[in-house]
Amino acid sequence: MNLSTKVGSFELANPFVAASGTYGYGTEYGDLSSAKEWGAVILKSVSKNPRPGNVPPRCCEVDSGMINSIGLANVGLEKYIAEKLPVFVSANPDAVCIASLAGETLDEFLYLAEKLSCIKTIKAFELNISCPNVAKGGMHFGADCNASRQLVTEIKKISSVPVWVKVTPSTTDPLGVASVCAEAGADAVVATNTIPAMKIDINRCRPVLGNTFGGLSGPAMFPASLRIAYMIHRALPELPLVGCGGVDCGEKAVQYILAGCSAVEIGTATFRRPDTLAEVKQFLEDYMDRMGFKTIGDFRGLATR
Amino acid sequence: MKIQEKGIVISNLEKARCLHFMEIYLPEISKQIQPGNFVSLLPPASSSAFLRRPFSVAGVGNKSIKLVIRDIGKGTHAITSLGKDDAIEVLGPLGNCYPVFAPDKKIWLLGGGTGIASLLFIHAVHKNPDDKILWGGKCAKELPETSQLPSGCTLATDDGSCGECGNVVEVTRRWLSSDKPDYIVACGPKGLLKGVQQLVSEYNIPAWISCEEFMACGMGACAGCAIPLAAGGYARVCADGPVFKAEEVVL
Repeated sequence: MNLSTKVGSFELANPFVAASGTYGYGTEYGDLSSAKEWGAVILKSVSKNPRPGNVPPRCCEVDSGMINSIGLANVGLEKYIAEKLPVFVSANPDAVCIASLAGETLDEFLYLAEKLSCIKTIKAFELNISCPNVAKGGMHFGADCNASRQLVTEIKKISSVPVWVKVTPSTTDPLGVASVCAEAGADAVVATNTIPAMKIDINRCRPVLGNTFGGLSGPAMFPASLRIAYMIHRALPELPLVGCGGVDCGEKAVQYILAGCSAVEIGTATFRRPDTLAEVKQFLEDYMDRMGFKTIGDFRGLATR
Repeated sequence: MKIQEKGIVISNLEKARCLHFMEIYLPEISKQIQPGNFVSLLPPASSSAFLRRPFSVAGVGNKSIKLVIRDIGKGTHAITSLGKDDAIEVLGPLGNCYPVFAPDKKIWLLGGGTGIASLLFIHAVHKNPDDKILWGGKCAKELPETSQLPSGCTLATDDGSCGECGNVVEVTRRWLSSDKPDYIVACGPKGLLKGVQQLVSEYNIPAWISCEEFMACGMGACAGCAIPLAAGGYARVCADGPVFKAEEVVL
């Protein structure tokens, strides 16, 4: 049985990718979720300048998941390159690393792409144009087809690193955004990110989160995100697709593959169980064995045909 | 090294209203745990709680750890409903720990609610008969009987229904009129910790506080449990803390 997969021309040893923002800088979990076991890991989104992040409280639990409003807290590009990447590489020499880029403007995205293109550790970029927790960039970019098209076009002009675009579910036309990204040369689309959400503390009579709103993640996201992945694959079967949203067990990962995804990101579930990846991999092997599938390609997109 | 281990409940005693003292058999985690560290428990499947629940450790037994848990929501309710021999999945040790205090130094340990946990651990390890523990609550119903606690432990209640009358900060201030410790360590609600910050600054006493915040991963990956630093920016309670020098954080 062969669990390897290709996202466009980018080969992964298995289809499971640690989602950005849930896997820190790749060393925090230690042996509990080792980077080399993943097909690839996507480090915390990096911005041009350091970002302290949003006012706490930044996260809370809700039914079937959680809401976060981290606000893209990160060390900034300079420290990312000088400190975080070397520590990651020395701890995980065999792991496949993807950088998540978070720009507030087109110029910032281009700056990040240019500086990171010459770093050998980075095997692909994921463009975070879907974060709901920042005032500029993020989702505001990703809900705009023209801005998304221009972003991907300009980055492809200056970088040969494969570009994945993480699209927001919070638009009436996620398929439209995916289409323009594909036309502009994106190497893959990731469907999807969190949706804006909130919780109110009835004893304090106030919103729980310091930022009032945050992004909903966890199993609650799964059915909505799966639908978007399915729609994108059905309309654009040639576009390499990565599923993301709510996967906490192997059965849900298989659903994303059946919807047309070549890889599947896992994030919030790792908070709950750092050994989620091991369970999901085992489920996939057992499923493929039971169904007689030899490769991921044997059943990818089957549910859309 | 962080370990994911299946624990077995050895005992679960409700020593005050909704306040459970639990001992869990965890041979690997118990070997490594230090005062100040916390563990995160996966609420049993019977509960719909999604995230783990973090708890500071109150001590170690024979291949076991001790916890003090208040039944306050669906996660803690499911955990405190466990009985002897029930299984629970635990991650630990997590977070930093208190400094190792020299044996001759006198420490006052100031706790509110379940914040008492890590202070009981220090008390058991430090073993200086001059150390004092002060444990505060709203009323007698919230606190165990003194007979159930280690010697050197004083209770305080807001309404005076047991122990000293007044909150932990007020009682400590009274004590300071005639005595002074080398160090203060505090853990409890934000109001208590703010009061302690003020007090130790006035009396110039080196102090450490253990902080609490909502957590998702508990291991430093998500930056969800941010706490503002006096020097600017934020620290992660789960990985940079939970123990901070009292003056280091903004509450």
